[in-house]
Amino acid sequence: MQTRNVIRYLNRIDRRVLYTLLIIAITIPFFFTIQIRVPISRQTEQLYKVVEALPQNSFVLFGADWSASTRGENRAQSKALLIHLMRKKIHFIILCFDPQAKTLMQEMVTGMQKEYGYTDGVDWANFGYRTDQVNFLKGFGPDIPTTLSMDINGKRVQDLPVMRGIHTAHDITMLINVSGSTTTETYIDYLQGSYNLKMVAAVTSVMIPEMINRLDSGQLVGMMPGLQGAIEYEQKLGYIGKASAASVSASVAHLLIIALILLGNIYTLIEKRMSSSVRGRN
Amino acid sequence: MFSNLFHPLHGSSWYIAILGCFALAGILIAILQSLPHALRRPLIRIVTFLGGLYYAVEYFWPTHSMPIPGSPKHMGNFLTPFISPAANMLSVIAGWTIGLGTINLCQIHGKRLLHAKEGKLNSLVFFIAMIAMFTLAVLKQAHPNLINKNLYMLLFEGLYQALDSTMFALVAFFLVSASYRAFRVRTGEATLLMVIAMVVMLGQIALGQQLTIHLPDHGFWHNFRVEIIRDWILTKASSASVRAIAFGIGIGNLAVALRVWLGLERGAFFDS
Amino acid sequence: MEHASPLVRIMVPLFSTCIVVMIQTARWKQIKIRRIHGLTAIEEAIGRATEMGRPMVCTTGLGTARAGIEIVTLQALSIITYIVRSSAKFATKAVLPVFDPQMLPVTQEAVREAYNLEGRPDLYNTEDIRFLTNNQFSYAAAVAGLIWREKAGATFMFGNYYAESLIIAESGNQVGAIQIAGTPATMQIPFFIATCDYVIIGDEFYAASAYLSKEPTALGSLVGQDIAKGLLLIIVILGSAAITFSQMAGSSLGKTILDLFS
Repeated sequence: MQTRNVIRYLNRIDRRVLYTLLIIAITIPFFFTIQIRVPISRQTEQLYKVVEALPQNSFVLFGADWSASTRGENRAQSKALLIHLMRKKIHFIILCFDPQAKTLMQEMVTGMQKEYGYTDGVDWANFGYRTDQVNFLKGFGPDIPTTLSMDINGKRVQDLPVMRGIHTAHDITMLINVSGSTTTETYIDYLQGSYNLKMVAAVTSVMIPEMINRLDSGQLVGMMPGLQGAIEYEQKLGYIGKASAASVSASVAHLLIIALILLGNIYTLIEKRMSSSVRGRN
Repeated sequence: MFSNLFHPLHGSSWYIAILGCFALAGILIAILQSLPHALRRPLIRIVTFLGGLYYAVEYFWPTHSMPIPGSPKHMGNFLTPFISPAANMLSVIAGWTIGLGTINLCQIHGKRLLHAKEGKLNSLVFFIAMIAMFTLAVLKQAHPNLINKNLYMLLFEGLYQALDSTMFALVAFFLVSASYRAFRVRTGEATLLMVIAMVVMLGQIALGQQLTIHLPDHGFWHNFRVEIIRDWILTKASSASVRAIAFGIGIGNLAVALRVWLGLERGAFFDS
Repeated sequence: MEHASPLVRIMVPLFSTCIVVMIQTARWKQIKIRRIHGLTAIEEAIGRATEMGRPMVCTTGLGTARAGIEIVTLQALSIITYIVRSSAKFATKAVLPVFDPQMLPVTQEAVREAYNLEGRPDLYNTEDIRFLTNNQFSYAAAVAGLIWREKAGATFMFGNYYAESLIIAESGNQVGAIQIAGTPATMQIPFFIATCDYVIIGDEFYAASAYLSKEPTALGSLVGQDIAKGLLLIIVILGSAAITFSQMAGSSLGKTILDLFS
């Protein structure tokens, strides 16, 4: 009788119960500082080596195409990559095809620049949000100064020391794209391929299987796979950031999903067995 | 001639050019609106064909050295110099269509408010939100003082970004209920799918990786680490199918593009 | 590539010729295609919504607002147009939320034409084809809200989808709508499978309009696509074999082949 009641409950389990369990699973671990060392994946290792090998004063185009929605993964990825670039004194410019990324990136870099001795306009610049990525990139590749025109502070490209000597996409040492959407593929199709650019990407977990093909084909020379990639990169940099802090929380949430799937299946199996035993008695 | 036409303008000529463009666009729209339906279709087909032809010829035509400032090795053909102006033109056209969308939204919500239909409160919220965001964005740009900036940031960061994150976070909740419902071991394939999903999930998380972290870094047993199995599933098994589907999708895109470009497409919108 | 490589100069015209030739052939030769379950269920879904007296919600996905109107979205619209035509026979209301403002006039025109072709121009209502927003999650929230408010009897999701797919499809599932989805976005297929009644996967999406309309152009194009895919498969097999054997033999042929493709 008791088993039957449990089965009946499992069958009719309200989705709000599941949602509450998830909230608890995600929130509780944030109150504890647990540091877990993780094995570094092949992709992250490759990405770290590529960035590490950049010569000082290289010029990097940092395509930030994420918004508050994918902040959980992309923010930690952006920060880890920026720390690496700034430690190596590499010049970079930010370009966004998502309107929210402009502000999010500006806040992040402004908060970091003092620590690494960076100056806006001299070592880095934010060119903000641009629309229509395909058509923008078609114009950007052959003529960067005209297409970019001015940064978000209204300073003309000609007046920005960081842009000195940068005319076409051939002058870009490396393209980094942190994205939660299709912008990485558009960058590959319309900029990386055309100018044979060295390109790396930091993508959300769900994008990994698609991006792995781009990595295998050599179009990408490095990739940071999701939040796990950010945790690994932070570990490589010897820095505990947001990704490492969220690591346990993400783990517990995944384990909850696994537990629920198992629970659902236990219910299915018991139900199947009970119905077959009833049929057998008949 | 064309290079002068696409040269950046400054001062009064810039204003004249803008006004001229508005006037020209107005005349063109009026002409198009007055055209009989039977004439519109061939016109759309001709413009579509010419637009596609330009990009196709530019892409396939043999290239030669075409140095530009800062890039002596730049390659191109006789159509390449127009790529950038064409890109700008398309961006402007795309930008204008947002106006169409806004008009449509205002029409629908306006009618609902005026006729006090069901959902009028939602429509009122729409107008308040749109006017508030628009006004503050203009004010912040025109008078960037602390109040205007903070008010704008309150709406943009405090509300819009927070709502955006919340919606994305809903995916996690829906995932829980969907996976509870969907991952049932009913057939052999479903069982295989469930086991693979679990291994990938375990290999993707720090706690899951701890289960097999004690296995050696090299050798035969190394292959049984969850992150290694996950990596194999993602990079070999899964990516092979993704590639196969991508081939089909690429060819499918080419076919639909050809049908639209050459006016071969049939259907309610394309032809009757 | 900024401009076509020698191999692309051969392959794209070759594939294009296959497609165009088969389109022309299909105009005089009858072509049959296999049954696609998700598509045969369209009538069932329309019938169910009609019986329940509830509207249908049809979406053409996100496309990418970064690249103008997408081919995938046009293909999705052509499927949705067929659904609207079929539903016109029963006067079932179809609501089409639009993501990309550029698609708004195109969608309006397509739906108006569909009703006209079925002799029911009176069914066309401007309020049913509405632009919502071109922000991904605002769109997801708006469509989910629409599904809940309208208590959709059937939902049809065709086109390009990203993370919002689950939000929309799970909302449809929760109101008990019969759901059919079709997308070339491989990463969203698992979410649709978990929440929808029928899913058209990968390049089946491109077969959909041919299957539904039985129109010679679409059928011919489908056969042309299959021939092109066959050619591509042969190239992949030959290329892989050549590279493998040349590497085993220590020859530079493999590198030459790779260079040809890059």
